[in-house]
Amino acid sequence: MDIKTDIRQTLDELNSATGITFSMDSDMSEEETLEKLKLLLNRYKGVNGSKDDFYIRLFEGKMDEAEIAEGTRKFHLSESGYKILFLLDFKDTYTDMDITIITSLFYPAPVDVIRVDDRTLCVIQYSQVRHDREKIEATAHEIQDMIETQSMNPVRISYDEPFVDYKEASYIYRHLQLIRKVGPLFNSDRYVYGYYQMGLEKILYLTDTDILTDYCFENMPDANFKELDMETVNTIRTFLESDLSIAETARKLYLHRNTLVYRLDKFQKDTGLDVRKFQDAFKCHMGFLINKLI
Amino acid sequence: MANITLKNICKTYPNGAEAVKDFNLDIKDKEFIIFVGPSGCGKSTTLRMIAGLEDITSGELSIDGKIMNDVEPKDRDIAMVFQNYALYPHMTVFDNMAFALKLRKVPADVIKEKVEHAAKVLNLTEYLQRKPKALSGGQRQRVAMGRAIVREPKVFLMDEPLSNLDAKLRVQMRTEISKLHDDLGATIIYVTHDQTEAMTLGTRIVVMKDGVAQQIDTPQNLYNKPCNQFVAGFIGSPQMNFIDAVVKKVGDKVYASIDGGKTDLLVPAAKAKVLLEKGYEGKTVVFGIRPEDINDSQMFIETAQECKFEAKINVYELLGAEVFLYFDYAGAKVTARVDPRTTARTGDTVTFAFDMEKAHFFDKDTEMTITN
Repeated sequence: MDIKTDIRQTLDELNSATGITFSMDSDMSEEETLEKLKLLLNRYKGVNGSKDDFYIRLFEGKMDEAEIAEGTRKFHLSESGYKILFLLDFKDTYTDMDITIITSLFYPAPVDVIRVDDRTLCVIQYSQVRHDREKIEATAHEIQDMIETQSMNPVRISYDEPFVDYKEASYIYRHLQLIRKVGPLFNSDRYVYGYYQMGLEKILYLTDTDILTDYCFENMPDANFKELDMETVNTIRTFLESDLSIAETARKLYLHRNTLVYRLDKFQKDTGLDVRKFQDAFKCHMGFLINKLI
Repeated sequence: MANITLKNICKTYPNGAEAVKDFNLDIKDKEFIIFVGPSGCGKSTTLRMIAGLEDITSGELSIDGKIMNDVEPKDRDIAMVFQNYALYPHMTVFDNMAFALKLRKVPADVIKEKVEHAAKVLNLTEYLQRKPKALSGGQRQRVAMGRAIVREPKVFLMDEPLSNLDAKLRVQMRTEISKLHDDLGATIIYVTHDQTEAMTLGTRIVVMKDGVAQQIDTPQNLYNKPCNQFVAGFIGSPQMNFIDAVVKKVGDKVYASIDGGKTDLLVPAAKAKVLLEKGYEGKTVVFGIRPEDINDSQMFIETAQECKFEAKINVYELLGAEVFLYFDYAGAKVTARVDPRTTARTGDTVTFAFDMEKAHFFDKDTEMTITN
């Protein structure tokens, strides 16, 4: 976005928030003008905004420490204990029913539901004890299943580690913004994504596609992952997930080990990759991931 | 009434990953259909497409003749029970079951009637005023079922509803779900990765792999007449044993020659005829035999002299009513399920005989069944 558009949008937002139509007549540089306008908007919202406004600006990192302290006082937010942020992406517009389901699910424990836009909600769960990753993931799955079975609205949920200080909220929110994009790209048949779960996927997502294409060309010139049939993909993927164990893979796929060996040999012939060797297995794993991306 | 038809259903995700390929199924009213298969086989995706939670990429889904592809989930007259069910902790059992109806502004007297009916079906009447924390795991699971029942849907969709329960409770709930199906007379589509659950619950089972329905059949037919090696291996626990064999014709007899010709197993006439007719003479096939069709009883061995072999037992496992014997044979890990009175123990060399009437033969390349 160029700076002129940014100024215009901030001015529109200021007009809309205050109900006053502002016009500009300034000798300041565009950068300075934008900064002043944003400051004015933030100050105004800080004083008069709703709890949702407070949270959204907090998530977007638009508040300094004094404003955060002022907001937490104003909205009686608990400063002690742990907070867990869930980002809910609905396929269709969420309704009050979805919000009621979420708040009822946690009640009487405190929870805040923040309306980010008409298809996105943030949920902050408060707890005096630190929940581990397994527990947070289970909670995310419960929210997803409850919404999908009760209000029948498909939803994907991203989450990260608990945080204590509200200053950390924007950092966590940035993580969730990334993982909500990365998660469905690499795991389209999953609906709950933990930030810590997709390390390599995040790196690949943030890497220039030319570099990824070059990597495939240099390391796997004979492998065309798009041409592979589903059976081959599932066989190789299970083999990689089973720590390259033939016995374990055969067990998981209900295959005779000779059949599995035959398939691995055929894969090697077709792609030049012998996934029984770590180096080739790693390249193959990269190939599968990159194939989902480009 | 709820007849469901899935015609050429496909699901491809935006990143190009194919989850379900050309899925065809006719589900009759009041059927209890099970989708079973290993992780990633497309069973949950298919269920979610029926529910409307996933878009159908191509193909046609209809319920009672009405095309449902673009109908909102809430307008499909279905109810769902998923794996990670939760109850509202501060509400009573009654309120938990009534909650979704209240949110939909259903009149109070109608809600009361529906909840009381569901509670009766689920044997929860005396617990209606209790809070979830005062219920057992099985009772909580029944409340989750109750939430679906009060909707009085045409179709129930269940995705691994028992997988969060412990093994003992799962067995108990399996019986209750089966009874529930009889009591409600409803159409149920049930997803599980557990083949025992599938075999005990379903009137028909859809075995899926790699997004493709491999076989759609009754539990008994799946067990006795699997259409390919995958189904044969997936259905049954412990799984079917697979050994490479060369089909050999000597005079008018046909043998499955295994272990590099060390053992020739006489193939029964009907199976031999099919092997020859399909041109497998001299070719390597996969010989499949279920653990219970490997016998160590002297009486059986005496009648099956051309099907016997010896093996050294690696592991002896007593399960009470049966014993599993594990051994290596002809390059394969083999399991036999024998009578608990067996004298065989770990380290013993034991004579066994295959019940060749129960043998299965599969094509080595296509993995399709040649004869069962």
